[in-house]
Amino acid sequence: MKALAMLTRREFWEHRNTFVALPAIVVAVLFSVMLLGMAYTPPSINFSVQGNIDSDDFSVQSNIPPGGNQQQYEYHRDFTGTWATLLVTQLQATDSDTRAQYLSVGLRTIEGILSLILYLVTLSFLLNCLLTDRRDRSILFWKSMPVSDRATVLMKLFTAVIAVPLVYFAGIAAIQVSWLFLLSLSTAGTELSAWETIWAPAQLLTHWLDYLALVLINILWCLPLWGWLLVVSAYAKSVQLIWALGGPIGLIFVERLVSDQGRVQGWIIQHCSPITRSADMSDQLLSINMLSALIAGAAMVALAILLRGRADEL
Amino acid sequence: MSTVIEAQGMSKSYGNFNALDKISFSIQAGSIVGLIGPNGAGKTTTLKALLGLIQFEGDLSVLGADPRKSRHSLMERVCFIADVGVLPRWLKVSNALDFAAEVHPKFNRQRAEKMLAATNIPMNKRVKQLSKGMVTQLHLSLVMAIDVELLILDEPTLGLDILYRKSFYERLLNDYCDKQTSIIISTHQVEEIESLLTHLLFIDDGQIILDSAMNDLASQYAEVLVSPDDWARADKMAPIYSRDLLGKKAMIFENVAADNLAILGDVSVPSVADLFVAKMRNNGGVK
Repeated sequence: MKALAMLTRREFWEHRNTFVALPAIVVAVLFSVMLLGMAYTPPSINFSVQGNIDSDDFSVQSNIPPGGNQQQYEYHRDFTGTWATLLVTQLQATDSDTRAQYLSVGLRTIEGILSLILYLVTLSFLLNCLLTDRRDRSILFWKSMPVSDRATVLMKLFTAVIAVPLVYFAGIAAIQVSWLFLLSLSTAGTELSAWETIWAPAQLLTHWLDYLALVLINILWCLPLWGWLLVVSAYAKSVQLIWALGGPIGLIFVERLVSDQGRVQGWIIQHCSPITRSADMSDQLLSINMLSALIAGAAMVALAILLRGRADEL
Repeated sequence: MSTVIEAQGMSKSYGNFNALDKISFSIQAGSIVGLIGPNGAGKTTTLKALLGLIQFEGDLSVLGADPRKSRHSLMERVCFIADVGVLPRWLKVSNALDFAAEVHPKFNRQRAEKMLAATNIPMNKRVKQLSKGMVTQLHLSLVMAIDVELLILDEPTLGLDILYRKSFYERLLNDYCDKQTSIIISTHQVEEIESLLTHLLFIDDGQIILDSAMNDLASQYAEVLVSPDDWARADKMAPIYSRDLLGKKAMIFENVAADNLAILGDVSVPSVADLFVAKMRNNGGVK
């Protein structure tokens, strides 16, 4: 067990920049932007929002846009406070459902930025993790240690789809808490309750559990993608990106030649795209589609282990 | 003595190139074997086969196991140092110790730290910040802190200057002389390891062309410095190699009785380097 944990730690030593420094920098930048944004006092604000918003506090400038949504209004208001106070006042003025919705959009935006970066980092790591040590010959060192090829490959997969997402999650959680905290500061000195206006409707814990559930589901849903990248990484001697793209594109091309159904194409595209919050995939999770992904993914991981067993320096 | 390595008809080809051509040899516990051959002779391929790093044809048993099937468990009992460039460049010295300590059940961290303390390698530096010599010392410190039964060294001092090479082999000898560890060293710098060895394996074109204990060399091979008057007589005894030396010829004979040779001049045991050249020329290896 200690040896397996060390295999993950070793990945963090090698990839400190993308696993730790990058999310830390992004969190720092987001925090600075928030801080500046919150403290900034806009001279006048023009914005549109969707949904039913109590307009008592705002004067309606123009009414329903021609042909537009009945519920879309454009508000204009000369405002003396900062963005933060505006947002808090606005949150206060809405009902709790809308409030929760607003906060959720903010929390998801933060999450989305870091998740996108995480996705790219994961892809790049998996595509290179079994290639770079063949290229720099350090495979001869790694293979001189009593670590099985299975443990090597599986712990790289574990690092990519569990350990690193957890680090990114820590960053997401930190910046989300910071955002809510900054909003709470704006309620100080007013009669608004930070808990009722912000923390309660934000439902952070539920939000986080949902996110972690998505991480887990995507380990399985995208297993063919992770597995394929490991296979390419273990097999390719160079131009791994071309291999990685060429394989699926070739398969789609072959399918086009023999049928016009596009099933393979659809399947590939589906399992290359992690499930997001917006997609309703509940019926997909216990489906033949998911089962096929698990089988194909596991087969590719097994193939990557086999290839790793035969891998030598380049 | 028990057998550590037993190879029978081992072959390996890369495309049309036969890196190993049905080689057979065995190595006994406690011996220090020099695997010597020119570049491209098959040294590294042989060692990689022993380590389970490549697939090949034929039979091979290392410490009773087939390395193709059980590299993972075998590596608890075998250590390996390839030439200087194989420690990952991003690895910190202290992390290298951390890694070995967690992953290798027979790694003794204190021993490694003690050995590193005797060098000028800083614990907080990364491999890429160390000189070639330091990297080799680091790797050697890691390996020597592991109690293994077999140590495999593939050109361990390649590209190092003479000071590092000397100290490398001194440390190796001092540390292992009192152990039952078997060592295989591949190199083409024969002179440096000659005094360490108990056994010689010459390899050329994927074939073993000499397999002998150092102690047996004297009874098989002899070198005589022959004056011009005796050249014709000496040639009749079929020297396997002859070179000009100070107006005379230094000739090497294989399996010729010493009494017969004594007529030609003083008989001595050829150096491993000269014997190597003699065997290579005979094999058509060196033109």
